[in-house]
Amino acid sequence: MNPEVHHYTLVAYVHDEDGTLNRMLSVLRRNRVTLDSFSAASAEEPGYARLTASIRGDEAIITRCVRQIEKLVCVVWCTFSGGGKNVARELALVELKQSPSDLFPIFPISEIHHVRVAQETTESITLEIAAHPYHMDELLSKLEGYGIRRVARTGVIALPLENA
Amino acid sequence: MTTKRTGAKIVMEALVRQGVNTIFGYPGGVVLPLYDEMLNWPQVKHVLVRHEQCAAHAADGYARSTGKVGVCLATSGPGATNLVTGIANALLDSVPMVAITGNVNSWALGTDAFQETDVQGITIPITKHNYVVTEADDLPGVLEEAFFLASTGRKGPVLVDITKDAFLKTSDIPFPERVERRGYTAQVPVDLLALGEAEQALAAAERPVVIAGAGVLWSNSSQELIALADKCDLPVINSLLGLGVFPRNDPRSLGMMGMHGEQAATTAVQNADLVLAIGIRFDDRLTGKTSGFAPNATVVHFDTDASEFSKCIAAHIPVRGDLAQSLGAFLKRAPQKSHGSWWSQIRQWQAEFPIVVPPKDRLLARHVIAELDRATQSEAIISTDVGQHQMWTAQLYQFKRPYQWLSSGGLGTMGFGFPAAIGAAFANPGKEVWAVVGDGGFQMTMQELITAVEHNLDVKICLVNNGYLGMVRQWQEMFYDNRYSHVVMGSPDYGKLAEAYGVHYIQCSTNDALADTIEAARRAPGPVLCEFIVEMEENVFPMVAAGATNDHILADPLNRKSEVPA
Ligand SMILES: Cc1ncc(C[n+]2csc(CCOP(=O)(O)OP(=O)(O)O)c2C)c(N)n1
Repeated sequence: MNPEVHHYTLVAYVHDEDGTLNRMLSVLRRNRVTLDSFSAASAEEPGYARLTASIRGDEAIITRCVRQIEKLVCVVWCTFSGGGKNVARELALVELKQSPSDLFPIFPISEIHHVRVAQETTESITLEIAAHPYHMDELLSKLEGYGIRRVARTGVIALPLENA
Repeated sequence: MTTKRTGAKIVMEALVRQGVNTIFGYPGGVVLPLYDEMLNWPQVKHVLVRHEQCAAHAADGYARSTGKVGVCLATSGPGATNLVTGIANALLDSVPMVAITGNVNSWALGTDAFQETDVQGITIPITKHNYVVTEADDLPGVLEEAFFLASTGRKGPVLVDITKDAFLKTSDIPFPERVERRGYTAQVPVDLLALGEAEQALAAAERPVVIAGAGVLWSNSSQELIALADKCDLPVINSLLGLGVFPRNDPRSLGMMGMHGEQAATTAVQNADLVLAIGIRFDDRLTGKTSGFAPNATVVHFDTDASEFSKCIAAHIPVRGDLAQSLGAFLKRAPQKSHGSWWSQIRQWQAEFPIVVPPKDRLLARHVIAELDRATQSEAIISTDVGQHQMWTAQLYQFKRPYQWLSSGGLGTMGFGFPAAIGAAFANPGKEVWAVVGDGGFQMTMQELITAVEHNLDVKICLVNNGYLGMVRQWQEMFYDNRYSHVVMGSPDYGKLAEAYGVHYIQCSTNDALADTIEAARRAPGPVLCEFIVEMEENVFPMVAAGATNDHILADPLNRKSEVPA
């Protein structure tokens, strides 16, 4: 029987110390949970960090993982959700081949999805896109027609609605 | 004002503050400053082992036989990696331990310097927590926290990796008055709501059982368990590591359950309508195939560690909280009960499927263990290695109290038994300590004979020599069609070996000499190696085959009516 695979967003508030990321990733790896993205940076209080991970797997296994992560001495709290309940964004930098003049049809999309021009040169234009993770893939596929050269994505960051 | 002192001195101060009187270690380049400082601290005995794995196991034995934190020490690189098995062993069995390792100078970290190893990275998955310390200023706080973490909540090993320069630098930072760590709860408060549900479930139950594990040991709640069983007339079954938390000679004790557990104990759980699981983690050796575990039971799971709930077996009522407190509270609220007809059913199973010691026409391992139990009046501290002899000891030794039983349960580490007994002997001067080991496992760590000799340590070795890696041979016999692959275990001449080490040696190969051999070993001062040449192809029963449910118990042939002549 194959366990059912679902997408989840895991959010944790942790002590900002050496080894913290290793410890968390080690739990996910050991439980064979697929990690789609991982993002970490200092939180509002000094000495603490917030982490967001997009993960894929069976709900029972992910529940087990989250409990094992919560138990880590370096973790203050950890939650996960199947999406929807978080305020979530992903940032992408997309470099396109064409010159700016070719890009006119993108702009209607940009109004909806918070696309900004981050840099322009004579050969390329780099767009900065901040979008809800559900829209990011869709948007990037729309941009494919314009000749994507390079994409850098931050992965999802999220603040759970409840909790700190 | 604290005066300036070196990092090395801070380490020794921390040990004394924590009441550590014995540490187990092995020196090397980067820990030289600490070894030098140690000479000024006669109140902390350092035991020089012959392999760092044994330092970890000895610290483990020290902890399992006292409840206190065991401490081991090793140098960087190979010293630290040699600790790894012992640390992993301690994590799986929740043993409080602090492992101190040296590392190269802080400026050389990451350069592949001589004997540099990323010990923190290696031990992240096998420690409760670990640290790299590069500043003497950080040592007081880190060491205090390390002992705090090792000995609170769900206990476990904590590793502190200290760079050579941190031992040499000085600091006037005092030790913290108290340790607090956000997100970490040392004593988890009792979930009173769940406790109420548990109380109702017990009130309604007709066929309740308790399965008690090592959580009861580490939380010192054995007395609460005994009182609870008494008040509510509960049959008490033990996991392998739970042996001793409930006296085996109590009429309510059914002994160990699981793969090689007593048939009546395992069967009682399968037929129970309520399982009170107290401080156990439902290891697969205990549950059998999980889908068939106690199919009609409501499971109430008492534990301090929330990650254990429904990890293997669905906990219908998880009761989180420090076990001593939750058991204490449960004891007060639990209804006084008696379960007459349930008990008569259990007594019937016990009569039908007793643990049997076969006739004494030849010497069997079971005879040896049964005699050891009789001769020591079930009072000795018993450490075992891993294999058949371990299971027979679990079945036949009538453990009376906590901290009496030292065995590697989770990791099943061969080589554990003898060094753990050494640790226990250091921690319990004047008490009788036996290591029950197989010929395979003993050969993994027998170099520690010299450690026992050097300290004239009162540790007795019961070497059960069957000439095989017995447990593996048994599986090959039963599940691989008798095809014995690499299980014949040659041994040195143990008499000569003992002589070379200066250890008193007694050999015994008959039942007639058995009692005298054990008595002679008990009377002889210092370490004694007793070699028992036993039947080579004896099997451990009862047995639930791996992957089978606990309903499918292979009974001891001596209990199989059809096969035993009347
Ligand atoms: C370090 C280690 N290696 C391998 C094993 C697998 N193993 C489990 S029991 C066993 C046989 C033990 O033989 P022995 O020590 O002679 O004890 P016996 O079973 O004969 O009592 C082996 C090899 C193990 N548990 N630990």
